[in-house]
Amino acid sequence: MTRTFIDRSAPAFWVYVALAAYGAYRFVPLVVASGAAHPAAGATAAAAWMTYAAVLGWIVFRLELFQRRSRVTITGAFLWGALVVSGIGVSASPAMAELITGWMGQDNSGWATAMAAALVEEPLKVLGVVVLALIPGARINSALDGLFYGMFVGLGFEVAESYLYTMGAVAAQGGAIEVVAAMLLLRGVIGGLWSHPSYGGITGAGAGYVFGPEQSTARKWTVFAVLLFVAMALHFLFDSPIFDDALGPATLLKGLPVLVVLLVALRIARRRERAFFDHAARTEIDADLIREEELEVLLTRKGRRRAQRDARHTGGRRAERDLRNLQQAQIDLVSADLDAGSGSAEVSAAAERVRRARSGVGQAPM
Amino acid sequence: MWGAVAVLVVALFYAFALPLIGEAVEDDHGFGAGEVFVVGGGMTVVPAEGWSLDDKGEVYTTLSDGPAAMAMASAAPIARPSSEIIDTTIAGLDDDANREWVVGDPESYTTPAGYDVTAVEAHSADTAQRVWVIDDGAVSTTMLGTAPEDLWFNYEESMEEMAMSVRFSEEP
Repeated sequence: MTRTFIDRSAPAFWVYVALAAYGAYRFVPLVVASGAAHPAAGATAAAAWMTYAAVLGWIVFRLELFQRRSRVTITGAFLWGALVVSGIGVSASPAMAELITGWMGQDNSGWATAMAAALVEEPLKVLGVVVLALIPGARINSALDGLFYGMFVGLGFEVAESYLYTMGAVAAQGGAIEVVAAMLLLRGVIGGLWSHPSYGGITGAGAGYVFGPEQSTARKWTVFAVLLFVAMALHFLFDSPIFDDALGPATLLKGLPVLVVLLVALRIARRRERAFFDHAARTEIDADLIREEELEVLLTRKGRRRAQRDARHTGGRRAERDLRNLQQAQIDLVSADLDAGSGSAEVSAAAERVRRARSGVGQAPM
Repeated sequence: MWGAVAVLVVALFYAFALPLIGEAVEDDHGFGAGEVFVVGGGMTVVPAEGWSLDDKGEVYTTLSDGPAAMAMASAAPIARPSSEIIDTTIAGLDDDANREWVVGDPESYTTPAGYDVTAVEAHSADTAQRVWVIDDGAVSTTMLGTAPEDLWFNYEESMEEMAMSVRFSEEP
């Protein structure tokens, strides 16, 4: 089995490929046309938004508790947001807005557009986490996995959408390149914290929960539906014309609930992940491979870092590196046990890596 | 296998079924392809695909396409220079207490029929708009296209198409 979402034996992988190709067919011409109209501003906007994606992606990457998730699969999640959600949204969002405007009337078009965006973009984003979770190699089997990849789906969409907005504003200003910085500030910094990556993370947590261990099917789908509804409601509120007389306070007032819900979901997901890890380590891993006192340290990033600092103070940089290698090998061992099951070849290989790493550490203090 | 099929079905709904439903709803009250619509004062436009009549008055006519709207004044003898109308529009946007507008530079060009066009585009956090003042030296019309900012790129082309389709009759 592969360790990324690129798994030719999985039907979901080919569904991903087909939808990504269609999304690119719909969306890339818009990007090319807007960039070709103002090449210098287009190149600057592309560089600015890719840098933004790298910085925000690094921050999201820091949310990892134990696993080193595959960069290939992370890229897959990002591209789903950038190509599939954007490409399908090009025709689906106006169509949904048309239907809702017909129902609410032209005078309420601001509300209708806000509702349309939430009803189209959130389901399409969470679909990205679902399709990846259906590919065994992507290894999405917890709420935290889903939240993590959901944030990358949202980030991909945010960057793609923001590039087009930026180029629209550039065109309106006759190609003025300084508009790029203003749009980066407006959409990336002021609006970025509580925008698409956050909605994607909330719905992604629900999708990851469905593919997680234990719990009844009814409970899983209930959690999924509730989180999808919450993300759509928050998206609708954020895009709605309410409080729009004052942009700054409105952004804060409408954005804070998004951030709060995301942080609560993150906290719950991390607590569950830690509990599964702890349980697996205690019940299925040989105590010689992960000792009781080592496990306590392994459970938090802060604990691991503190132990590494202590190792450096007492044994130098090499001791720190050896301990870091041992901790990573132990995390990989528990992850392999959770992914492939005890007694599997993956677990045996991971156990061997722990033994080798421990021989390097010797009696280094934890 | 069935999970992958379910994902595909949901995606296909958004990619194809939803736009088809939207089009079907539009067709119930829309214009035929290439249909010439009489605005008033001897002025006609060819509504772009997807646009439908929202309101028809003596002075103003409004077409809409989902959340986008295009209001156009019936043709009337020129009372003020186009540049003055555009300057007034820009001043109005600058004074807007409810929204912060980013206003572009006025543009001048001609329609395929040879009429002079002066246009200006403006964007705010949630709304975008473009104003066209079109005249043939004797009569003029002012058109205002608005759409939500995040959907503007879906509509700007069809709005421009309609502005370019304006025709004034010899005797308004």
